[in-house]
Amino acid sequence: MDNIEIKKILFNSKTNKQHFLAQLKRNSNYNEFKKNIKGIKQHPFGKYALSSTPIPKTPSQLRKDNIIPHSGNIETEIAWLVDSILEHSELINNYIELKTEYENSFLLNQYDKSEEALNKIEKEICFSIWSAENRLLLTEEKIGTESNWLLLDEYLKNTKDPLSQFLIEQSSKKAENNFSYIRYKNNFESIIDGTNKSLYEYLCFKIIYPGYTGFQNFSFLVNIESVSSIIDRYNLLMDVLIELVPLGKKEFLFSVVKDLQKKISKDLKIVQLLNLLGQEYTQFSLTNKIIDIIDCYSRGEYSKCIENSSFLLKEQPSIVELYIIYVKSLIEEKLDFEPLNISKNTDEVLLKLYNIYSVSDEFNSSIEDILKIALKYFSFSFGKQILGVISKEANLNSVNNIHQLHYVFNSKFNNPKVIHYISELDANIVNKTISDFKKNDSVSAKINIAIREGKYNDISKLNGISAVKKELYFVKALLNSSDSHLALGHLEKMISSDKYSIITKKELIEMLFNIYILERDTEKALTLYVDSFFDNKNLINRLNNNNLLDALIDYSKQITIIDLPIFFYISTPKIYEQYVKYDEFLESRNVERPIQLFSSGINENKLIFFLKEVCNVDVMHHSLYFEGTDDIENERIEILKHLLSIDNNNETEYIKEITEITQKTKIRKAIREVNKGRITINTQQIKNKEENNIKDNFSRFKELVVFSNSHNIKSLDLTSKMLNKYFSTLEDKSIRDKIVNTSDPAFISYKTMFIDLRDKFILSKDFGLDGYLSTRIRHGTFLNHIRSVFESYNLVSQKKNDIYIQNEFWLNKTPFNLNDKKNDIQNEIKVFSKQIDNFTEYIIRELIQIKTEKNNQRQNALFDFSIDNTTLAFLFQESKNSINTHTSFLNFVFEYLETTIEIKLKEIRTILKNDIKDEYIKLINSFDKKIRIIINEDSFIDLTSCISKCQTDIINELENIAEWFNISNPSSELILDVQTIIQTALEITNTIYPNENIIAKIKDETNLPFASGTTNLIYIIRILLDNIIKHSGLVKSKRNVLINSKIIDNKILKISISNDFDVKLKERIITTLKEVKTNWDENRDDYSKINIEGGSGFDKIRRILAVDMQKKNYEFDYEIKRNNINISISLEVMIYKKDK
Amino acid sequence: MKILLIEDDKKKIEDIKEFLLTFYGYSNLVIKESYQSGLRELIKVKYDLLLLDMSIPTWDKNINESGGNFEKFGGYKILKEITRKKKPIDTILITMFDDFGESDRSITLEHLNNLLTEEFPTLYKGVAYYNTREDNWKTELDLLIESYMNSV
Repeated sequence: MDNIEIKKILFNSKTNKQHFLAQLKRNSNYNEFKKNIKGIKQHPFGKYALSSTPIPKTPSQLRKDNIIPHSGNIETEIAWLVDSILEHSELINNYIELKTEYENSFLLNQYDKSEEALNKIEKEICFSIWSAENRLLLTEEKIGTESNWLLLDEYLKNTKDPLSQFLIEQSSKKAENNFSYIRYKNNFESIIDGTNKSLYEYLCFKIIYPGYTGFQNFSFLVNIESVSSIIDRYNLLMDVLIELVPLGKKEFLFSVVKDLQKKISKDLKIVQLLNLLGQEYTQFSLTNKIIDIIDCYSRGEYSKCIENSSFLLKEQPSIVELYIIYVKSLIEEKLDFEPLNISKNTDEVLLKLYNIYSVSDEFNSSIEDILKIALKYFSFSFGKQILGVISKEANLNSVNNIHQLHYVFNSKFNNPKVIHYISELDANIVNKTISDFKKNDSVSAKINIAIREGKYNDISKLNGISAVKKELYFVKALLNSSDSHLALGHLEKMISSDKYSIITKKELIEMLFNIYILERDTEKALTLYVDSFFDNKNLINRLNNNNLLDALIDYSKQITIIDLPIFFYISTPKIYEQYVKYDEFLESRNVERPIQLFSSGINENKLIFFLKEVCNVDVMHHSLYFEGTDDIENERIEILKHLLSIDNNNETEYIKEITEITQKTKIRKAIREVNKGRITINTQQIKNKEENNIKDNFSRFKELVVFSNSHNIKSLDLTSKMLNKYFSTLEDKSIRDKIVNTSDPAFISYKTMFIDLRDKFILSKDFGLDGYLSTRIRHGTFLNHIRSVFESYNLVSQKKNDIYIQNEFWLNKTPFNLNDKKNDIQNEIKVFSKQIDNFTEYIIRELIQIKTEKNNQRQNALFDFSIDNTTLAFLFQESKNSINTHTSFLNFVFEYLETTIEIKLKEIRTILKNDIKDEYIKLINSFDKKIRIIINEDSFIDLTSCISKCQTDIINELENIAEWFNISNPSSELILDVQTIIQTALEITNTIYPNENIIAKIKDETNLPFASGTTNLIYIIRILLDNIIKHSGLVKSKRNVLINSKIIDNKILKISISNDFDVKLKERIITTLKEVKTNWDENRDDYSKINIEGGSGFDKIRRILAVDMQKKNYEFDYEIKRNNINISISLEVMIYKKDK
Repeated sequence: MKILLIEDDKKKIEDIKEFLLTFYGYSNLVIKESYQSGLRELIKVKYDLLLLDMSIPTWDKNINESGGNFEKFGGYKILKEITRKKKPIDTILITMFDDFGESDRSITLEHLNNLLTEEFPTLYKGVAYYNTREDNWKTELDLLIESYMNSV
């Protein structure tokens, strides 16, 4: 389209000018569009669109114009940008000069000078995202983070464009010294996750270039920048041009760079680009000076290098190549790191590079630090060069050698290394570059050319190079030659020698490894990899372990060496794959368990590593040769004990792991004990207490029997058998009639005694069954265990003032496409929560209750101890003559009651596993169905899969709960130290409150095993922890829980739990605790409140102490300081000396 | 015919047992409730057909064993192991999840079905999506068992 036509269309009032210009960009190329631009400029709209506030003077003017829509055409988008840049070429030249001054001063820590340059840029040229970024960086370095934040605040207040605001905010974070590279990257990723793909690419390119590779949508990047300041436009253009070099389009790029060159004379990057494109060759003024130093290094004259590079660095602190020469020369000379004291910044970079090249222990942290430096200084040429240096060591996957091209592009001299980075480019460019360097008499140029062309004989002919250096160059050239097969022998010989520096060694390992992979010599590659790892774990960071993983998968022969599982452990985080190789290795040694390898004669270092790292609990979990978690943990402990005997260096680590496993095992066993059976009947205690009461009544009963018209019952069998006989004949009316005898006064006396003992058995506030049901099951425990299943999937909402509140978890997780159904989903969750809570409360209130013929308000109570006259009459007949002492009578009655409770418990277990389970499943299914109706054809995978999972879990939980309904045997008490008891209580609490997760500091000063009432002590601490969750009024992060245990006067165990609470609750808490203390002090034998559900549970604690643990001396106390409460429970304990 | 079911959900076990009894009069179903017990059984005893759940605990749960790690893809690992240990068996997957994993990192049942078909072409016979609310799974399972029986 010619310019007359363009002008005509633009001046037509009906034309959508933006769309027209976008269309024009879409269908043109660079040179054609350049001509069109003249036509566009003839219309005011076109002229303004091309220019678009190029020189903003304040943050508010940043990016204030609309963008002409993206055309997808890189050539015309660039032409558009170039036009405005060239319009302001003088400003750009000025910017480049000031920028160099700014960067150099910055690197020398001369911040005032830097600031001066930056001020000049903003004053004489314009305000830009670049200047905001650098002022934030300067402020951070010069003053500190708080000033950085204040400046950010000012920028954000004054910036109107959201994209600019985002870029500036990220610049502030990037500058923060406290943000590590990884932390910044994770933070950035979480912010931009879900952003449109092209915008995502733009943001990564602008903000975190080192973190991403493989950029593609360059026309979009250029288009977005077309309304930015002229400085930002120019910076982005230069960064994009280098990205385009490996992608071809040489002529287009050449035209662009030539256009720029005509007007922008100050930027060395333009000259580097022209050199790179192979059309021209310009030698920089610094080239000879720097090449001289590089030549020294190539010849192995390291002392000279140290001297010369440090001298030149003082003049030229931004020449990254000199940093490398300096630190590598120190390493080659086996010298410790020596700072140059040029500036703090340069010394920091030198130190990090030294750590990396010397493969020191600080290798990994230095990689991260240097990546942060590259990120922070990425707007400097220096930062871009640092990225090029570190890319390979940090495994950054530099696509098309782009990081290395940045290194050359931002360089200040003609680096002969460039010929290795452009190997993928047009052959003409490569040949041209080589011939340009051939003109140079530099030895490093000759070496690089010989290596590139595979001319190893040329290397042999070179004079004045140290022998070890020459060998290295020779083998590198050999690898690129047609005789590459000869390189293998050379490399194997070289690698076994110790005359090479760590730098050369690392290169040799990499070359040899690659040959092995290429030659499919998998076992050798494997051994080299693992041996090098054992030599220094950072020697292998550049090896491509995926190549070896693939080769091992394809490898047909069985590998029997220990290197195999070690390699998989190093190379893959997938536990199953690690296990497979572990298993294959053990199988190849004909053993089933790692402990069988202890005296196998395997290389000790490798065996230690294998046992220490590979044979961990997670890997062994897959093995078929273990019987369960306990067995695996025992194996691990045996392994650790063996490691202790052969590897003193890691003694502390082994002891720590043994302690952790032992502790874990103890806690698990304690939890099992707590869950095994929660029903305890202290029959003996009731008998003891009732013995005197029953004595007189029983004598009277016996007298009545003598006077009554008794029947013949010849013998008394075991009561349980008798009872079974009774139950089996219950339907037989003739027998029933025979035994019913209600008018007999002896029967009445018998009945009174029997019912009285039964009531003691079930309802006694101290030893009775109801007390245990209350303290161990009904008091929050059952509800919490059931709720925990649903809470762990966030399927139940919390209640506030008896109203179910919004479920924040699912509110935030609801997919965008279901936004209009959020309320419906929330309502269903509330309904479901209510149903679950109501049903669970019904179980507690109505089912896990006791009823008798007298106390029968709870008709559905499962512990039905009602006893009718028929039953009593049968028992009376069976026992009246055969029982002659009150103790036999007590035994008779309690045997009956114990048998009855066993029958009841069996029934309850069945009801829990069937009827109650079915009801919960019904509720879950109904909830699932309603949710699926709401979401209809859409998908809400997270929610629906949680609903499915909770079904399996509730069945399992009910199976576990059913086990509580067993009589527990108090004689099987665990012996645990107090610390473990506290941790067990804490773990149980955190399991049943999955969303509360109490993190407590535990300070155990007892260091004593606790042998009597371990589970009771766990219950007590559990109740105290429950109180924190329920009554502190604080969210989990603010509770500040501390648990302390100590022995006082060698006889009192004092457990104190302190936590913060909401001050608004202070009065209520004080009142409650005063009452509790009074109650404990004044009503020591009154347990009337213990079966009242809810409340703080302190009466239940008192009952546990007095009744279950039989403590005579115990105490409750509290202390309140501001918003912190400390509650202590003290109990008398017997402390045995060790010898006893 | 000898069928092994590896499954830890009690309700599902009962439903599958009832299905096999009603549809095939089959009452000899052997049940294992974990990755470990299931795999051991497969290595020790020769079965004709395996009905397999995808997400299972490592160990059988009991009073002394909490089950160890919960294996989200335990069923997949069983298929890998029986292939590796050369104990192949025709397998039908019965799962109550239509999606595995979490959000965008999850894998749909359809995708999983394709992956298993591709990776275990000779063993894997297909999947039935079990759902307590509906009976469709019975039809799906019936078709898969029918197809398996016709192929042997």
